[in-house]
Amino acid sequence: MWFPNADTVVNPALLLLLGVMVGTLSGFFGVGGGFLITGGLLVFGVPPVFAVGTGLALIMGSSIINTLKHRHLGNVDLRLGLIMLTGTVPGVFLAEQLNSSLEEADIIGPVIRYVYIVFLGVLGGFIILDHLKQRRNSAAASGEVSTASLAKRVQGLRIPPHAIWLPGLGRVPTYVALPVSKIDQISVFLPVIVGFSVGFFAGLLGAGGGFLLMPILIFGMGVPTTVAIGTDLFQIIVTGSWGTFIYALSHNVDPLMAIIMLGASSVGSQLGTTATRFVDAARIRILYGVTIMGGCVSVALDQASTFSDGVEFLSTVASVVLLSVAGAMCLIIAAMMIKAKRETRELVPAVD
Amino acid sequence: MAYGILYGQIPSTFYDYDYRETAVGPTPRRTKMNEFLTSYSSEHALLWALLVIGGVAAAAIGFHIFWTVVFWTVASLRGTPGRRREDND
Repeated sequence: MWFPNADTVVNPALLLLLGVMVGTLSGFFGVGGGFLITGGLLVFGVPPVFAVGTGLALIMGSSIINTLKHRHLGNVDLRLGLIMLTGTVPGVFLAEQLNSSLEEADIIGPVIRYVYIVFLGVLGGFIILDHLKQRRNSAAASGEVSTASLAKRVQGLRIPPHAIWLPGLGRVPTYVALPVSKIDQISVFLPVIVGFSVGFFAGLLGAGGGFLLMPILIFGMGVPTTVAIGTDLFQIIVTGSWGTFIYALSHNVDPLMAIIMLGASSVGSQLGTTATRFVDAARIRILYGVTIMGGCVSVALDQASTFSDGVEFLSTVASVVLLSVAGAMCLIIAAMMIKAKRETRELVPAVD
Repeated sequence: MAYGILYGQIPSTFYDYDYRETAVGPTPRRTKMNEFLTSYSSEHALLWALLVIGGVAAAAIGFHIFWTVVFWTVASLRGTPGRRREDND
């Protein structure tokens, strides 16, 4: 099938397959899946700049579908999301300034890849270690993370000023309750700082930032896993829309390709979001840890491919590794959901 | 699987890869359409960007409504209640 904007021919079956994988992982983990989409489109022969631009359009669309679905399930903390957005937007703008400087110095590619490797590696390693630690303590069944006490302390931080004056509202306290996230009271400055940091790295890496925000919300702020997933997706709508807008301005988005993948992604989204109801939080976290470790290996291979002409094939290997990990995860999610659904059905007569 | 289907079409690296080689010969209609889209998106960049965002957002909402209706219909036919927010623990 020919795509007029990108002026390239791609097998639509491959786009549909990629769309389903992105939708499933996005709905299940609450991430945009930017690195997966870009890697996949490059393997399919889409020009790099269109792969990033079209990928961002898919991230945006897919996040809208998943946020609406998670909102229906009560997994989106709109209040927390809106507070974080006040930090996300300036963070993205600041990152763009830094990006321009790095581009002028002609070091943007390696810098982005190294930042990716460090973040993905540290996060993946931490999540896997947390799972193993909790399993040893036999606390995983309760769904609690090893940083639960740290998260409580973070929630209790008192950051001045404790009240601010707003025109028309008078003195307003800077502490809010987030009942959806099961947080009794938290300083608004904390989510703003988190939003700013995530916006900054999202802008720097050209991604939605979901892979960072989801663990920060769970391990740093103590937000329940499913609420972290839904709220994270709400944030990605904004970062994804901004990225799409920038790339569309320089006509580097193929809307037809994005909409075809979005159709398939909406199918995967139904599987991914529904699976969060049946699969327990500890399992969601460990699968997420393994997936981003796969992403880390893939980016490391991609960076290694630039070292010399003889190892350029590693770039293709990187994309294949990423697609294989993503495909395997989708199959595991589907299998876990079917198993959990069967177990639920078997339990129902016993309760009656 | 994706790699298998494409095997033989992709070179060992993306850097020296001319994606246009995969096109089955640029027909005059394709060239014309590509030129139109390139010139339109360059001349009306802001309008084009808003159109792209609006189109993708509208499609996403459309897909969401479609699946909601499908699940609602299936639940109605099977006589099982749909998942509600209140059910969330």
